[in-house]
Amino acid sequence: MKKFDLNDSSVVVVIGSGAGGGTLSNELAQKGINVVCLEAGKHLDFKTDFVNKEWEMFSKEAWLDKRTASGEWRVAKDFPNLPAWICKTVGGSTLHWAGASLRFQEHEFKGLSTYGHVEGANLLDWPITLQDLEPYYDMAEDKMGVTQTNGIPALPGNNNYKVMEAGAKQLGYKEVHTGRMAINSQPRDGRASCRQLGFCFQGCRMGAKWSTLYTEIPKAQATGHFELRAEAHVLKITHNKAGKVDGVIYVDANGQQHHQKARVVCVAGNSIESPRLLLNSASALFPDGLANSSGQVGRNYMRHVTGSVYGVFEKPVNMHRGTTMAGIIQDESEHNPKRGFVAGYEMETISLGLPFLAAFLNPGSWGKEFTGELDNYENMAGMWLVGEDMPQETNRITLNHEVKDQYGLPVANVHVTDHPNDVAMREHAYKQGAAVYESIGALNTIRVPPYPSTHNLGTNRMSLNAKDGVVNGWGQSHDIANLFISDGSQFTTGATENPTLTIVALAIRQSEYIAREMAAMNI
Amino acid sequence: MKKQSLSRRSFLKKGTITAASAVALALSGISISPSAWAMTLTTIDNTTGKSLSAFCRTLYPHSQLTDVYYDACVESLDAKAKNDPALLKLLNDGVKTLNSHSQHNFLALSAEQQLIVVKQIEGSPFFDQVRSHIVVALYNNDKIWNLFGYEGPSFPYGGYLERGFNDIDWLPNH
Repeated sequence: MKKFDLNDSSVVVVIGSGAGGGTLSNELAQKGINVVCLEAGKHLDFKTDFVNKEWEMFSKEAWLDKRTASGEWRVAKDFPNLPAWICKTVGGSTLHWAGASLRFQEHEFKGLSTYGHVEGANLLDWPITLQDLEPYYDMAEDKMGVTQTNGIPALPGNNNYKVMEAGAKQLGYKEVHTGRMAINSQPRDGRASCRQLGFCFQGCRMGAKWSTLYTEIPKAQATGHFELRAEAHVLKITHNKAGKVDGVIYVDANGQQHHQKARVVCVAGNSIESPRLLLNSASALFPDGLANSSGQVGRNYMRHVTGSVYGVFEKPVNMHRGTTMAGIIQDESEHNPKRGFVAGYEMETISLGLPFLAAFLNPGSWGKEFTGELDNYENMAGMWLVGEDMPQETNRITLNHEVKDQYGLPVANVHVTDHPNDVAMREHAYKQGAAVYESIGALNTIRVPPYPSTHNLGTNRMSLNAKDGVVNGWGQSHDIANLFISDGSQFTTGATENPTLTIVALAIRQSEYIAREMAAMNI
Repeated sequence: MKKQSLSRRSFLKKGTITAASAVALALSGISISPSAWAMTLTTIDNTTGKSLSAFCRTLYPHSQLTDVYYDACVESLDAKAKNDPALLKLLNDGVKTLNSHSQHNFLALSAEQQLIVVKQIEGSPFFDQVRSHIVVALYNNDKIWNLFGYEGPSFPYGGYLERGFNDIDWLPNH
């Protein structure tokens, strides 16, 4: 396996190995560019480390370093130190993502133009369009093996899907299908096909679901232009006197600090750690943190308008059998302000095992009413609601100087208060979700509040003008030409769709730009 | 069968069967009378342990679960308290508080009376810490999953592809 010297200042350093960092690393390495990928988490083997147990895998894959939460969202009360449920492992959150791979809609790149001024929201149009991204969506879908694209058959619907589909049709919804999923419906790319295990959130034990852990990372390693350093936790990005970044300081598994030199630094630590790293890298030259002349680093944090509805039926559903996100209703994903809010939402099946359902059904709840709901586990169907939330300047990641992590650095505080548009959308989605199940005879429906955030977006957003955001349409920071953002934190707005496909498409596109700019000696 | 009854006798004789292993035995088909096992506590005293077990059932009452499963939760709290004197104090003081809320000890109260007492301490650090521990410990016990219709790990059995992932037969227009 290729090794690069700490003093090799010709390498591109990529921080993070998930959907953004893992993909970008491989794409650069395939072009012959030398990459050092630093991943804070451990390197698990899906064949030996993945088990079908919710809490056991949570302890293996989740990012459990301390964070704090504030604001009016309920997560701050129920899970004050777990505002987000994302991964700290090689492969990042592609270990526990469900696989939903939907393209953004054209209007979603033009949030401000389409929705107009929304009081209290910090909306902006993306500096790129759907047309700019379409060729890269094509490449991403092929890379990830997305069902219902490239001639790949759809996955079969499980029980949980069949219940949702029957209710949706009864209600008159038209766009109902088993999704565009980065889960093999037939063997592909050296990986097995799905055997309907369930446990998609626990890491796919079949390797049927796309994860950079066993696709991009080994492919990059095979090029001879890539070195992965796992358990390498980056503390700070360094820069030279001219204001260009020149390396990163990280801690290895033994607690030793190192300085890896770099020609280009790409940050892909997800929307909480990426802004935290820029803020923790403040220096005399950049007192407010790197790439932060606009003051927008950490702001406009988005997490999608989420929530779940569970329907309780007279007879068994066995929702836990088969894929977690087994299908989708897309009729509500359009922008239709007649509903009382801007933007749209999707309804996607979800299932939790008994251990997680007990923890997340109604956090903090106890007593007979609660246990009575769990007694109906076998007869439950579930759906997750996911819609576009409004970017707000005050929903943001800041450094909490009162609380330090294991390396003595301030932890991230995640502050969220729903925008009225978010509240209206969630209420509509709850009602429609319940109606789906009631239309086919649900005895009862249960509204479940948002889980700790899995879609974390927007905290280093793209903007045409440097004063409005952190990076340009290539993910290149406005302030520092050789510093890039390569994860979902560069999203200008959140769109309705699950973000991973777009993160991958942007990473492929960014790799071409970086290669071009390096060849032209611009960076 | 002979071997099983021998095992059972030796357990009874030695008195070493813990609630957790009783759960394992119950699942393997050996029937154990409720008095044949006892919580094995190293840090918490027995009466406190029994009170905590009753407290756990008040929090998460399921008629299909025998006391074994709640006792197993208390054993896990006991293990945690072994190296955590602050937790031990919290548990001991918490049970004292439960006992002080009526004329009788918590254990002597009916389920309805116990619920009234627990409602009075809702939100206290004792209530919050025990509740957040129990909601994981109780439902993460794989021995109870079958009683709820949750089938647990599927990879060892080849997933659900040929084991009913789409076997629902009661939907309209099916």
